[in-house]
Amino acid sequence: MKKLLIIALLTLSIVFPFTTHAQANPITQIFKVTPIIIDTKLNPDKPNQYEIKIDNLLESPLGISASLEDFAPADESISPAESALLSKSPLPKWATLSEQQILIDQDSYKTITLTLTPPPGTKEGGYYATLFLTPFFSKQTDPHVPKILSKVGVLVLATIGDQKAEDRLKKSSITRSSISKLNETAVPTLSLSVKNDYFTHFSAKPFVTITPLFGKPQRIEVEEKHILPGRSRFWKQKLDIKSKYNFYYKAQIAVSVGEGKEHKVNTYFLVLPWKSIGIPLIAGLIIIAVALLRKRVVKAIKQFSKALFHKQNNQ
Amino acid sequence: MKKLAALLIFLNTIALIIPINVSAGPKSTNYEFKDYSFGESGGVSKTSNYSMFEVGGQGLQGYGKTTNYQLGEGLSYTLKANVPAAPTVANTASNYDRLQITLNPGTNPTDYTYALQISTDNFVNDIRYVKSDFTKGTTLASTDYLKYSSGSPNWGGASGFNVTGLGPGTTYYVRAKAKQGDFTDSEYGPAGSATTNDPTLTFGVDSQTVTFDNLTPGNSYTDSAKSNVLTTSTNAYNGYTIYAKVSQALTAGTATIANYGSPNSAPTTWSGTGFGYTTNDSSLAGGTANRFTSGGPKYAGFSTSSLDPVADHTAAVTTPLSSEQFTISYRVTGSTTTAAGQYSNTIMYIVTPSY
Repeated sequence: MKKLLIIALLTLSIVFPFTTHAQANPITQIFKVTPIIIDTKLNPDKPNQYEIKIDNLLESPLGISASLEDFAPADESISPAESALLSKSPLPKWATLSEQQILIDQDSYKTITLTLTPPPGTKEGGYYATLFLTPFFSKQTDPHVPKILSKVGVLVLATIGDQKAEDRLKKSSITRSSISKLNETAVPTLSLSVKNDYFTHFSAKPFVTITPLFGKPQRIEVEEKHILPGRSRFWKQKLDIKSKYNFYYKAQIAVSVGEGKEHKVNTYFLVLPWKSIGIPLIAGLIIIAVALLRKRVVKAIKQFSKALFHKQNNQ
Repeated sequence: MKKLAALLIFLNTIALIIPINVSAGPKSTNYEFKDYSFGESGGVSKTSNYSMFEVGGQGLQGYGKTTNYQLGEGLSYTLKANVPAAPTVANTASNYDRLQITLNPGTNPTDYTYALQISTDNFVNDIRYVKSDFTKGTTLASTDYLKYSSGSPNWGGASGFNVTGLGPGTTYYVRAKAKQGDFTDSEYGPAGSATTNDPTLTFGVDSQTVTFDNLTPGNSYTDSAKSNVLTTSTNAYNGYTIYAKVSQALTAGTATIANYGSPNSAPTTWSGTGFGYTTNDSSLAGGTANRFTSGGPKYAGFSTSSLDPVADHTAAVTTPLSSEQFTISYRVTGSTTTAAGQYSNTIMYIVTPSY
C-alpha cells in the first residue's frame, strides 16, 4: 500500500507546466544574413574588413549576438565532433567585430563589420572560422521549459599566400574513381574521392565525359565542392546517361582545380542490356536452334510418343 | 650506237612532256608558291567540297573601324570568322560564384571555335579568359577554343554554361572571338554583362520554447506530439546543414531525464524512456540517408557535446532555395520513478552553409 502511494505521488509530480504547443505558430525567430560565406585572401599585418548585413524579418525587434569561433564545418571526411576537436584555427584571435550585441528594429537591418588582421609573419595557409549570429529576445521566456535557440553560422575561409594552379594540381590527387553499372535498369553511379595536400582550400569541379561504343560523347558536370587542406571530399552521384543501350562505355573523369588545370582518369564500364537485347537474343537463338535441328527434334518427339504408346499398350 | 640515239630521243621526249619549273617561288618544306604576282582574278574555282579564292590584287587603303567592328579588305579578311555578337550573360538563379553564359555564334559555321574573355572592369585592366573547364584563368590556350555546341567540351549551345569561381557582388563582362581553322581569329565582339549576388541565408524557427503535456499514467508518461519547423532559404551553391545539440539533459533541480540512448548516426524505433527527436529529412548526411524515416519514425537523443545533423540540403543549389522546411519532432517518456518537477534545457539549432 505504501509502495503504491509513493508511485502515485511520483506519477502526479511528473509535470511539464504548459499543456499546448501550437504547431501552426508563425515563425518566431527569423533573420537573413548576407554574405553567408566569406572566401578571402588575407595579408599579414593588414586589416581586411567585411560587412555583414543582418535583416530582421520579424514584426518585432530582434537582438543578435555575434561571436567568431574556430569552428570548421564537417564534411564527408570528418564528423562535426572530429571537426570541433581539430579546429584550432587562430583566425578568431585576429578578428574584431564592430558590435557584438546589436538590436535590430522590426523589418529592418543592421550591418556589422568584421575586421581580420593576421599578425606579421603569419605563415601561409588556410585559416577557417565561423561567425555565429545568435538571436536573443527582450521578452523573457519561461525558465522552466525547454528553450529553442537558433544560430546562423557565417563561414570564413581565408587564405594567406599566393596560389598557383600548377601547384594546386601537383598537390592534389584523385584517390578513388569508378563508375558502376551492370544493366540498363541500374543508374550508373560515379564514386570519386579527391585529396587536397595543398596549403589552402580550393574548389574541385568534376566533369565526366562518357563516350558510348556508338554515339556522341556526353559531358556531365558534377557538383563542385571546396576541399580544406589535408582533407578529402567524396562524390557519389548518379549519372544521367543519354545513350542507354550501348554495351561498352568509355568514361573520362576530370577534376578541375581551377584555371583550366585538371586531373584526368580514364575508366570504362559495361552495360548488359539483358532486358532489351538479352531476352530477344535468347529467344532468337532457341528459334534458330529449333530450325536447324528440326528433323532431329521431330524424330525425337516421334520416338518419345512411340515409346509412350508402347508402354501404355504393354500395361 | 643506234641504242644510244634511241635513248637520247626518249630522254628528250620525257623532258618535253615533263617541264621542269626552274622559276620556283617562296616555299616551305611542304609547299611552294609556284606563281605569285599581282594580277586580275578570274573568279572562284571550286568543286563541291573545296573552293580556291584567287587574288585580284589587294591593297589596304585604310579601313573603317569602330570600337567593336571594322571594315576590312582582302582575302584574309574574307576568310576570317565573323565577329561574334555579345554573349548573353545572366544570373537568373541569383548565384554568387557563377554566371550563365550563352554564346551568340551569329552566322559562323558550326565547325568554328570560340574563345571567351572575362573582365570585372570591362577589359581595361582586368582581362582573363574562360578556360575549357569553365573557370577563369590568366592565359588563353589552344584548348580553350571550343565549338558552340558540338564536340566535347563545347560552350553548351543555346543552353550555355556556367563559368565558376567568380567573386560575389561583382559585375562581370564577357566577350567572344571566333576562329576558323588555325590562324584566322576574329576580333573580340561586344561584351555582355551580369552581376553576381551575395551568398545569403535566411533561417527561421517557429517557436522559442517547446512545452510538453503533463506526463501522467494516462499518457503513459509520454508526449510525442510536439515539434519544431525549421525554415531555410539560401542561394549557397552547396546547400546547408542544420545541426542540433542541447545544453544538458532535461533537468529539474538535481533530477534529470536522460537524452535518448540512440545516436544520430543510428536512430531506433522508440523504446524505453528519455528525451529524443526525429526528423522528417529522408536524405540526411552523416549516415544512412533515410535512417530517421525508413520504417516509421526513428529516434535519436540529442548530444550535449557534439553537433549532430538534423536537416540538410546536400544537392547543388542551382536555383535558390525558398523556405525549405523540415520538422523536428520530439518525444519524451518518463517512468514511474521519474522525480516530479519542471524539466528544462536549451535546444540549439545551428545552420551553416555547406562548402
